Amino acid sequence: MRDVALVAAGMTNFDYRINKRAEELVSEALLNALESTKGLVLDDIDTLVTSYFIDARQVAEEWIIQDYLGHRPKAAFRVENGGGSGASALYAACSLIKSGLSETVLVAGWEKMSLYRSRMANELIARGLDIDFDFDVGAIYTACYGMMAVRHMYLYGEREEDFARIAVKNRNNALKNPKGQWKKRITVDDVLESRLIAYPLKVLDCSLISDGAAVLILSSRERAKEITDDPVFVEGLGIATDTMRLGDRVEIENFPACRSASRKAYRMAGVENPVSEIDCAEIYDSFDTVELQSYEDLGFTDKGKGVQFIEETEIGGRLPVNMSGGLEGMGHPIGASPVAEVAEIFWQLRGESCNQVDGAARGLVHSHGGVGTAVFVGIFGR
Amino acid sequence: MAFLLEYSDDWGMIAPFFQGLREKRLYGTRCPECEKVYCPPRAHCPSQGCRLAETEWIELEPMGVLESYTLLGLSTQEHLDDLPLILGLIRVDECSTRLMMRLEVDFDDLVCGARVEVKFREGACRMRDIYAVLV
Repeated sequence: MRDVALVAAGMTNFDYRINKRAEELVSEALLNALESTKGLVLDDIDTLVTSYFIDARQVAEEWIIQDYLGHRPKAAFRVENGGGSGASALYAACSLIKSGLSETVLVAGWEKMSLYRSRMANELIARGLDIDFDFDVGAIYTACYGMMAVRHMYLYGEREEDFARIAVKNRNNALKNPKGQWKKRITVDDVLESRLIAYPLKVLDCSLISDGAAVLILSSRERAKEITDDPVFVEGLGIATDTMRLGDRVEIENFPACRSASRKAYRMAGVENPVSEIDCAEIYDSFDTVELQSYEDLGFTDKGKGVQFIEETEIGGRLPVNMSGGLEGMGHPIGASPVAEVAEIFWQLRGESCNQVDGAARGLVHSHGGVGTAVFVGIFGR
Repeated sequence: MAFLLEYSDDWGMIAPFFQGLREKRLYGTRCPECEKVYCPPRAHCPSQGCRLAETEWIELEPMGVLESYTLLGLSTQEHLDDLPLILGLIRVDECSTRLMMRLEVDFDDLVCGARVEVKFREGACRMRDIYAVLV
């Protein structure tokens, strides 16, 4: 897969209620990306792949964005995969370049969640559950992830304080991220005292409600050095799925789709031992419990041993995770989040991150659509 | 600004399940090829090798095992008055899938693996109208 290169990345701040329209945010992220290149302009891009989630008021919002960027008459389409839209958009962009259908691709992800009160944002997300079954009984996404965590706790004995350590790590990491949303140092007690959303998940165990945009620019290996002196290469990709309803799954305490997606990506990248061969990771912490389960499913540690791995995920540990602050700290404008995760790894591998892992040469990005209904894993290297 | 989405019910081939709720009976579907039983029901079997074989309806004993649960402090608009609300994943006996439904229990009495019984409210016609209790 090393014939596809990431040549630029950009993002806006992530925050609640940014007074800019979606198309203005995407423009800002794109300008941020272009300024790091050797004079690349929008005209040089031949294909746009877009990513956003909420279709409540404006539908087909990607057309608003592409018109605002002046993209016509060139090729463009949206990729939708729930929270994994941005990762799936990247997957599509890589295949466009690898196939030769495109030469230089812009992936743009955004979300304006502050248009809705947070209760309504949760409801709009919950409509991504089976409307006649799980949605009908009052489930929200937090409840589904909560039930997975309860089963995991039953089998492996974690307590709420264990998951809270991950929330603390990620939110405190975000304090070093000038574009990050979360600005307050917290402790485990703060997490335990925060309001219950769906046991065991309290407000501070959950990702944020955010506005923001992030973009990536990809090109073929041949063209990469014309655009940047420091390209990052796509080494491995994997997508796998599980059922939409937890009730239909074989396993509800972990994510078999994550195991499958990561093994595909590792095989493609030639990774045999992730902890020793990968230097940094951005994991989709929609909830801190997902990050712990993902340590196990990504093969960083054995099933049931996630708690013991937490200390390795701090900066200075064997495999730092969510240096950016993750979705709990950096923020979670749904369509943009996976794109921003890849941007962080891009910057880590170029030594440009605000929370740098020394000598990072290979990074992993992990993303979810649905309740891990689609799981994406990408491996990137110098 | 709020809007109300008006729509029609679309039960299709799984209408007997919802009719069964009105009768205070729990129905599932069984695949004639692999013999798996689905509750919630599916009219076509998704198992590998069954080639979406059409399933047959069977009545189920409304008893099962609680495989997980949670306590909600937040829900969607229509359920806000019912908070705090307890949801669980219940594997009805004989089934290869689990139903997500409400529980009427003391949260502190819950443990994974507990036996539960499914109950039907008067005039039950949707999933929100049934609930499980510990036995």
